[in-house]
Amino acid sequence: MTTAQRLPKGFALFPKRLLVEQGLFAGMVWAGFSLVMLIIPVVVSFFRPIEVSGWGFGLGIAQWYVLAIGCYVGWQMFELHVMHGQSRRGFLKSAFIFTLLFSALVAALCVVTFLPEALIYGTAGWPQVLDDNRLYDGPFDFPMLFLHGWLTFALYGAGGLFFGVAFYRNSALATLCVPAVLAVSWIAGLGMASTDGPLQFLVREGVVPSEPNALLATVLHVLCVAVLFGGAWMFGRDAAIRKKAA
Amino acid sequence: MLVDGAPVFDNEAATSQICLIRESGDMVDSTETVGYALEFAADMRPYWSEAVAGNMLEKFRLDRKKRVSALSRGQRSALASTLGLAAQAPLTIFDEAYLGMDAPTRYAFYDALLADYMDNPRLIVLSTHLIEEVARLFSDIIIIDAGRLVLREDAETLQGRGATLVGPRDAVDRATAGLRVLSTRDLGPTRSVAVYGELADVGQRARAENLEMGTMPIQDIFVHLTSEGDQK
Repeated sequence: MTTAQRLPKGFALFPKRLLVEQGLFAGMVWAGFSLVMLIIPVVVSFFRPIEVSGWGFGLGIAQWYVLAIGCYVGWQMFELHVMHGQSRRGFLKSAFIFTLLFSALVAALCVVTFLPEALIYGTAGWPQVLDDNRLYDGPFDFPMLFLHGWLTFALYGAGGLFFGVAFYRNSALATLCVPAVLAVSWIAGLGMASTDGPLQFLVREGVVPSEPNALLATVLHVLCVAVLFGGAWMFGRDAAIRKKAA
Repeated sequence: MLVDGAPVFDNEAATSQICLIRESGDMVDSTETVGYALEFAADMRPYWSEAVAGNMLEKFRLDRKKRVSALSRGQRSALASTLGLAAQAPLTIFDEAYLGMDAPTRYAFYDALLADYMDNPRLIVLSTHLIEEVARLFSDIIIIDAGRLVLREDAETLQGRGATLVGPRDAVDRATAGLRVLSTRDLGPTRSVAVYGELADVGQRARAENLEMGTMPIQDIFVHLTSEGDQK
């Protein structure tokens, strides 16, 4: 059969391959990382009493992992997909869907990990205390834990995608965007009463609530993720495909 | 740039029909294996042929389990060429994809390219500086020099247009009067010229002046036509 007799299957918007690959990889990373984070308190308990959830700290590390994956998708997969015939805009749309679903997956894995930790902490009689400055009430507030994780990871994933595409296009211009992305993250953090960044005066002035607020956090994160996606779109929609050095 | 009347840039209907292979290996993630690169391409390319990919891997002795980063430059070129042929895209462009390949591998690639074209005729654009090596593959030839279109001919016609005439200076000058002379060399009273034109006419003139005449290989025509541009 000749080429002309066959019809192309086209590119699906749903990033199945990317999700399966990165989902499996995230599963492996999660298995190793969560094991380490569950063992650390056991080791530490020989030297000092355990007063907080170890996995609570793990969440802070997981967001940087999601950012790194976002960078990888924007920097490496963008070029590969375009070189194999997908349009820039088509890939970016798929990458946006991927970021939202992948961050939900990582959030779910993070929430699930509180269960084995609760078992260990319960057996050892340690308090499974989490950081107060969050949307959730405790390690068993699963819906809010998930929402918190999803919003945070989506923000970091979108930030990573933005940086990946921006640096792919022009590293100097992308470097200039770092302050803008930091500002976006500070704005998103206001809904969670984050103590990071110079926007704390908004909390002090009473413009935003001093306690984490799920609705405000959701609205601000959705807006900030949209801004970061918009930035990735702006940089990627007509980016030239570079010729690598052989 | 248009393909079938449609703009190419970011137009999936057009880009999914095009496969551009560059020797630099930007079609693959160098941290992954050869096997992964093929799986990825199979997933992306609408006309992918696993049979062609398998044959090419065997021909180039590429190990599916080997990491792309561990491949030599020639093996990377071979992998890129494998991806290009197995993609079976209606418009396949090899942009000096042979760079880095040794001579036996290059000839294996040319053979595979020709065999694949016979099985599945489509538009294959082969950009190359090794003209003589691939001359037998050409059906149409476009010569571009410094971004300028120098010539566009079918290969058979082009091969019948270049000739060299050797003989006494005066006789050569008479025979080439009005013809497009690409180059002239003198050795004492003997003059050798490269001319471009209808060979039948050139042949008649050569016989009339009792000159030695030979056909010019495509590579020589290329060299003369491009150097002609440089001299202007």
